[in-house]
Amino acid sequence: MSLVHRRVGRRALRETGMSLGTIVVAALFLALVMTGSRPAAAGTAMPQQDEAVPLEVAVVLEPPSTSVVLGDRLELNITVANDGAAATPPLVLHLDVLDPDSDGSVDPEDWTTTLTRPIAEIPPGGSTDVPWTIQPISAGTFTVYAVVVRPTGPGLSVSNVTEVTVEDQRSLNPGNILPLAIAAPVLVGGALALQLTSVRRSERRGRGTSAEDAEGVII
Amino acid sequence: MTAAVPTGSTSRGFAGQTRPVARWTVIARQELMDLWAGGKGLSILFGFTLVLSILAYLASADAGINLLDARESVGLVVTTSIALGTLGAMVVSADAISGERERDTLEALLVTPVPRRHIVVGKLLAATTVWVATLVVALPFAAVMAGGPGVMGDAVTVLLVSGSLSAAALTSLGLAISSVAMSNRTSLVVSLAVLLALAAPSQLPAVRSSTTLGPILIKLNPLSASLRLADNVLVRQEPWSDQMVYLISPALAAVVFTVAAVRLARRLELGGSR
Amino acid sequence: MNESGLDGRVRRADRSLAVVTENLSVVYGGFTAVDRVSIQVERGSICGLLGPNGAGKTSMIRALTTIVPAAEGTATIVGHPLTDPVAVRSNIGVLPESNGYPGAQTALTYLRFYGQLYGMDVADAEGRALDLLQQFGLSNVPSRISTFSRGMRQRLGLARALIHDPAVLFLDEPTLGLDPAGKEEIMVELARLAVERGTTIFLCTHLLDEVERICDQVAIMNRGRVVAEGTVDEIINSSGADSFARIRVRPEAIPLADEVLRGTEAARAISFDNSRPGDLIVTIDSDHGSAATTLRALLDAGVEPQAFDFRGARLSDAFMAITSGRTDDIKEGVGS
Repeated sequence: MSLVHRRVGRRALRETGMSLGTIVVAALFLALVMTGSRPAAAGTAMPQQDEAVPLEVAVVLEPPSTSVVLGDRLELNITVANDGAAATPPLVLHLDVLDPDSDGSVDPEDWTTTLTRPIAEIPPGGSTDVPWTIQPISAGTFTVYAVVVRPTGPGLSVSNVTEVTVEDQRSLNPGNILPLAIAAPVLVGGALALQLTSVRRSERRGRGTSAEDAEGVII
Repeated sequence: MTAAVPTGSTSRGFAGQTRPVARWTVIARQELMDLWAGGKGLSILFGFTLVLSILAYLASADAGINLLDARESVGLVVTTSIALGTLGAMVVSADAISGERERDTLEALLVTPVPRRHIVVGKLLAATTVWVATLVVALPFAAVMAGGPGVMGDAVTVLLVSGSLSAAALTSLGLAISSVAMSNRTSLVVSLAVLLALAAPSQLPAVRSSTTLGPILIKLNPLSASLRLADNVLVRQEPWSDQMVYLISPALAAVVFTVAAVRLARRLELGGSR
Repeated sequence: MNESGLDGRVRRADRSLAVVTENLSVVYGGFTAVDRVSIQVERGSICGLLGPNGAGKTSMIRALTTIVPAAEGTATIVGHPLTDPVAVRSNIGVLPESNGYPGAQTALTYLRFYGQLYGMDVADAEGRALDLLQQFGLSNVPSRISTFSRGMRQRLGLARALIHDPAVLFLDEPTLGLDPAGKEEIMVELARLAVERGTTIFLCTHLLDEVERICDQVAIMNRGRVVAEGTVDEIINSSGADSFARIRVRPEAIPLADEVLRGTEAARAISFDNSRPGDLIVTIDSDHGSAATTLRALLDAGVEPQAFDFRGARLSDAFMAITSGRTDDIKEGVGS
């Protein structure tokens, strides 16, 4: 603190009527309060200490690459293994999809009915298999991966990626609807066109008749 | 005008007829001719067929790649048919009286000895054929997309029962409004506004998620009740026996609105200037 | 039309009356469009209903054709009260002022449809329609009505009004928008209908010349009331409308002619036609002389007219005189 600042500080103290003793007492009180609350805070923060421990689980997504026809369902399997010395807390498994070749994002909710699933505690050395069915909604090559996280707090483990190739299988006549989908509007539209043509023809004829004013009557 | 006044087969005897002439069939026949030979009916049907064809193709394509269940795609076609078919019939009926009024053709009709209610009944029947035509177009789509007699039977029943009741209700409503509306635009706008007022609350997220108000509003509105019934039967595969509650408002509305249209016909007025 | 009070006994007994109204009123909201009108129209006659715009003519016709209800009073059409609308409608044909047509229909379809509405079967309706199309010069027109000219539409409307051979025909401005020849055709046809078929025609029009020519009876309405009724002559005579004489003299004789005419009681006013030097227009005071009096005075004074044209009071003069309020109580003096 500069000399000027110290002077200003003292003047302020004088003006507020606060003595140095008062400040010391207040500081001691604060210190007591802070140290008094520390044990309780430390007690409730125990899991935070666990959170500091790295999440020692391995996540394996299988198969490593696969292909599927658009519209078909694809069965994936995710194995979560506890590589640590202690049991894992309850975890959350999350699946995600991305299209690395495209700027367009992929909404994984279109591919699977649920994006996250809970995983119960895994004992040391143990593992859990989670089967996961997805149904791609567009053709292309996509990257699928899974992540295991704690429900709260930091720490995560990411799986390997699975490359999913989705082959397009669009049919020109899905469900044999095409003939009807073409025939119906063509038939009705054709009838309408015929009708309009006949109306126009009649009006042309009528205009000729009107010009002559039927049967020579002038009105 | 050169010929003399005809004195052949016709006579003053026609004018002597003083009993009411039951001529609703004549009105209906002429209205049908005007509607379907005049191009209006076919224009509406063409629009409907085009929309339904595109929708059915897309739904079938989605069903083909398992994005939609077959029942879901049939449900989509059936509910669309009910909504658009009903709307088409309502548009035609909303024009039936107010259109004549606007085109200055109503007065000539009103001075004939045909009772007013016969005029309304004839026009109502003609407007209803718009729904019948949409039904004829929708049924083959439902049949092809159903992929089985069970779904097809359900689809046909939903269209015939629920759709027809809903169409009858809203067609009569349109005609009742047309009887009192002094302009065609007013008639159409009011008809659609009433439909919207009935349907909109049941579509609000807060109402839909409400377990008490939402279902009540859906059941009260004849159109949303019909659509919900179609969804329940065709998509959710709920039994028919649980769906009767969704037929109450369409049936009640069909009766009430038809009676209202016929009763309002008694006070059918020309409107306009002195 | 008879000015005498509508005695119920007379009405019941007299089957020669086609239209009878007694204190008939039509009210729209708070506005009285027709105010206690009492008239009688004989069967087979042509009755002209005249009046300025907003006089209540169309409302009167609409009340008599059961389109709008009468707020007050009674009326019968060939003996049928308005309270029996079906009977009334069966006996009337109506061509409204603004009559629309279904553009997509042909004339034959249109007439056949209306024939069926009047209870004819399809064959009868078609036969009658073909007869009328022939009569009105529309028999070789297969096209839609939307292509028809104004004149063709008016003829078609008239044919429609006649489809059931009605006893009474109500026509509201039937010649509106027609050229002179077209108007003449319609008027000739109306006269023929009245004479040959005994059809009573209730004609609402602004064509006073035509009314003067074909109408047996005339009623003039103003502000919802009938202010004059009777034959054309009765209306003219009691309206106080002036007659005029146009006298042409040599320009140098004008001062003398003017002086002579001013000295006669028969000349109510004298004016000069600036567009025709030498022409004097003399308003004849029929109470104090005639056009002949003025002519004789000129001759006596040595002024020899080069031309003399007399125009007696016309219905149009009477109409203007009556509707401009000069003769508010004229009805009392007419037809009685």
